[in-house]
Amino acid sequence: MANYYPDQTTILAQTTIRRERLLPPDVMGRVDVEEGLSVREVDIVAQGVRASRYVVVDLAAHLGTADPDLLAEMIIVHDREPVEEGKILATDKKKKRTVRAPANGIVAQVLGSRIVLHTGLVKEELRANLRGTVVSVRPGRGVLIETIGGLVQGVWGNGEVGFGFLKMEPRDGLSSVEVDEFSNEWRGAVVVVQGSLEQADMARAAAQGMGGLIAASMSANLRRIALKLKIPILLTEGFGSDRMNRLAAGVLESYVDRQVSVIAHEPDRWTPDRPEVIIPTGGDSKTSPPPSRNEPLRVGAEVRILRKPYTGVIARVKMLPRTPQRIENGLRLPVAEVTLPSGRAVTVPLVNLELFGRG
Amino acid sequence: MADTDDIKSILAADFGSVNTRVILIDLVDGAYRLVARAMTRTTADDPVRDVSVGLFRGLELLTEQTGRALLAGRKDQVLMPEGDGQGVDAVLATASVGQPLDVVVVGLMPDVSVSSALHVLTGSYARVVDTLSLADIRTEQEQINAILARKPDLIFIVGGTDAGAEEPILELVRVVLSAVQIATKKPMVLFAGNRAIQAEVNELLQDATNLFVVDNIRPSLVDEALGPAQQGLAAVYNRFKVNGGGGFEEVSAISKVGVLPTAQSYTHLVRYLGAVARKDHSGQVPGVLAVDVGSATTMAASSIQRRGYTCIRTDIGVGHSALGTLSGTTPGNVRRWLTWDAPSDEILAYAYNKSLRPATVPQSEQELELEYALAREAIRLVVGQAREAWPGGAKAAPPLRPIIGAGAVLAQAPHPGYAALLLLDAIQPVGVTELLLDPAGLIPALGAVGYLQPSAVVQMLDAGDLLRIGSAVCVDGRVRRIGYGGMRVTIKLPGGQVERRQVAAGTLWTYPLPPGQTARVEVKTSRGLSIDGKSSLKLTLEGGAAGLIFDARGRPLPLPRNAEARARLYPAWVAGTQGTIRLRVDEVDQSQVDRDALGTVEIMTGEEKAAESDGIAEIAEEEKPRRRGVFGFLRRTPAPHEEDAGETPASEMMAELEAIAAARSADEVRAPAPAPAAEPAKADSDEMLSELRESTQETGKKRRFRR
Repeated sequence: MANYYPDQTTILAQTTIRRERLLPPDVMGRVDVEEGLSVREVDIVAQGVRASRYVVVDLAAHLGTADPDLLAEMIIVHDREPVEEGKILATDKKKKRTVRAPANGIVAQVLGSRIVLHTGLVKEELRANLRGTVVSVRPGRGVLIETIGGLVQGVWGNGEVGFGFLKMEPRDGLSSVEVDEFSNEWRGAVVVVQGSLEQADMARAAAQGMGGLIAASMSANLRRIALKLKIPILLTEGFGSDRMNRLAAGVLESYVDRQVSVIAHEPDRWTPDRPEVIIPTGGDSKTSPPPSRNEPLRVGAEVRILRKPYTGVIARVKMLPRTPQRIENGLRLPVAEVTLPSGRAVTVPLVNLELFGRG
Repeated sequence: MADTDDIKSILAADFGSVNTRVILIDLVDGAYRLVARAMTRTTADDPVRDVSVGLFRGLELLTEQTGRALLAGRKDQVLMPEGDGQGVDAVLATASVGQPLDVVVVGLMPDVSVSSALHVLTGSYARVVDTLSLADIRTEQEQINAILARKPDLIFIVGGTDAGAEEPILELVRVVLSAVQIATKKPMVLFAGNRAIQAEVNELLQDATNLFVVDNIRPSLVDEALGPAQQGLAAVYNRFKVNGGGGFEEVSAISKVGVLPTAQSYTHLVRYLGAVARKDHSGQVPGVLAVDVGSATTMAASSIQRRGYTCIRTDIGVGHSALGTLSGTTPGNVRRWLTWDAPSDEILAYAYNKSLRPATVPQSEQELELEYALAREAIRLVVGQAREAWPGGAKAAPPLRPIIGAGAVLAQAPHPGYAALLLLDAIQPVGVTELLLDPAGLIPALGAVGYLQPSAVVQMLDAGDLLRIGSAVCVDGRVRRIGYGGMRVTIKLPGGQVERRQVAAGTLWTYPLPPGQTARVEVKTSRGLSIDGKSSLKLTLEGGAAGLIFDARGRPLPLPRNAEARARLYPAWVAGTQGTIRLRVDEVDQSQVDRDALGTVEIMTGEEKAAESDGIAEIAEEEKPRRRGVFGFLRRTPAPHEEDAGETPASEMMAELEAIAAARSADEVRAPAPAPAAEPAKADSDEMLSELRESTQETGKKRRFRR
């Protein structure tokens, strides 16, 4: 059978992680760090301004000439120059005519006889979001940061980013944490909930000022509430009531009390960004190879099952039949026979399996 | 059109949001046939982000199936041209994956040129983000800001008749120029306005951005010429794909037609089938409908009264766009297709999880029901929207013949009858229809092949490379009492065997007549139900992978509100599409049938039942036997006055296709075409057929049952 390349979710205790941090393309920006510099999560690596409005100033109409050579002599501002309202943009000394900026802004372009001003400027700041080293710089846009450590990718995030020390939820659940504004035990902590997140858990996390929540799943009805919270919420399994897969739980448990970054990207079809937990540990990139991202499925591979009735179960591929097989609901599909932790072998469609970053 | 003299074998690739499909077309006994097909996961997304990788993986699968080498170099080049039975002569590419084009439409009159531009855009993956016209009261400054804020991929300029005013449209072109010059991401510009100013438009815009100039979309106030603009839009789409990277630059370079939008293939095919359709037993020219249910996009292409209509929704689907589907409907509407009382939270979670993992498939029976419920709603929403544009509006639905289903959710159904059920449930056609399925993903290829070898399209359609599910006879009218009345069916087979069946109201039944076989069918309906306005009908129907489907469920469908009632009724419907009836009338709690959908539901007494049967009228209508294949029931050379006034897309291709169809028709009158000798590999079709045979044997045992 030809190779089948399943989806991958990286869950690795030690690997090399590289993440690009870039300003949006329509931001006029600058990079504030240099290659080789160590950065912390909250460090600003680049900043810039974005125009919410453009103003075209027609010089020809004001100065009475469209001759580019003459106009070039009259224009006294240059590209990317900040201007205040009323500042002179061009002047005809002979005729004693001037053209002034109609608003505060930045000179974006000089187009023949017209000056384009970016106005209604909004400041953009780009933080590192993870602890690591700047390995390359894209002038005006951003940086590539590398770190060594654990990486747990999730499937959904609420769009927030946060940092803190990792803690597992208390035995009696997160709701057993008493809200105490003077206690620092849970303040700023990133808490792992291995089951389904409840509304009360979110309320408690917000009230106690926790740094983030990493949960297996939550009810679909709570999505809107989660999106309104200002702390990051990351789900490893999805919506519903599934428990966390044992690989993710194992990696997270092994890093309790470590500083972690929770980058809870809200999934977007058009961007490659996935919600993820990064646990920088330091170390040697030679002994921590980056995740292999394009591995075919092979007999013996450890896989996660993505759909009911085995959602989240980590299994091992036992056999890859050459021809499509009929599964219990009548569909006939390419499948793998996998061995569950109980030792039972079951048939699962190939598209319902994923790998973890190492073949 | 590409030089096509030496093209014997064609490799067509369609890049979808979840799957990449590749099909091999080759000459078999002098006619083009689908030889093999393969499907792989898309590599458009992370981690690969290069669609050509998926293409080469698909070709490896094809090579494994056929033993024909298709790759050269380090398996990263297509082996071209064909030699010694290896490689192919041409590669064609279509795509639906990726973001739709964001378009700003610029024109003069909202009801004239702008309206035509919007008509063209409905046939492609485009999203209109703003419109500038003479009716626009914004200042020039505001218009420039509007264009810049929208960040369009394309500015589509139309306006001015060929002998009309020039300055107003030139003023708008200058606004566009200003915006293009300022924009960080330069939008492409497609100009399909007044031909007299093409030179000036070129001069103004060609150095500023990628400019495409085509003939005027409205040469005069009364004439609409969509063809050149559609072709221009296809060129823009190709450039958009190539500029977007992700491997499309490589694919476009080897494809003879660049990268065409998949939707255009559906539009072309349906318009062609509509153009050659002939009057049916009811004296009407039937409409043609193709529905493609994808992960991210659902589209309905239709031809009604020989005019094409396309409705593409890039926010509705069963994978990436599962949430969009749910937003367009309600959890309650999804729930009505399920046999259990799923809480809204569960339905919502299913849609969320499906959009997060769009390539996964249901493994449990419950999840399969949920998937199919979403698919039904996706089709219902899109076809419903398409119907609004049809002549007479949504309520005057014309007969549809055929209805073509496409997309993995339909093509991978457990059996062809199940796919038929999904189409019948979602579209609820009335009268007599033909149901086809595209399990191989052939339609996207046909649209592209039409540019290169129009004869190949006709040959493949005629050879039945689309899977024929069967014919369906669907009663109109509300079913008030499930299990009583309905339709009385008499099927006379060519060998003299006669099959009689009472199909109870609210149920459906399938007679397993194989593809290629025809039977004389007589149908009589009980009081309150009709077929094409009549209570009795005689006609010849052709079978299919499912057979002859008799749908006595009425319209709208009687969908029980109560989950228990649904749990008894729906499995009977599924079984009914396989030629078996499991439903016993007393199993259905009539009081639970949705009164909003159904009207008043009553339990019928024995006397009433007898009276209902007596009420069947004896009005019969004869229908001449039809020939096999898609053309068997559609082909007819239209009279000149019946042609669509508007120019069709790729009109040259269409004309050639019709000429071939007409020529083939004349040939067949003289001598029937011989049956193809060696049948190419078509795994799915063959499998469906073997299943059909099994179910036929099974059903045969139950034929003695009479109500």
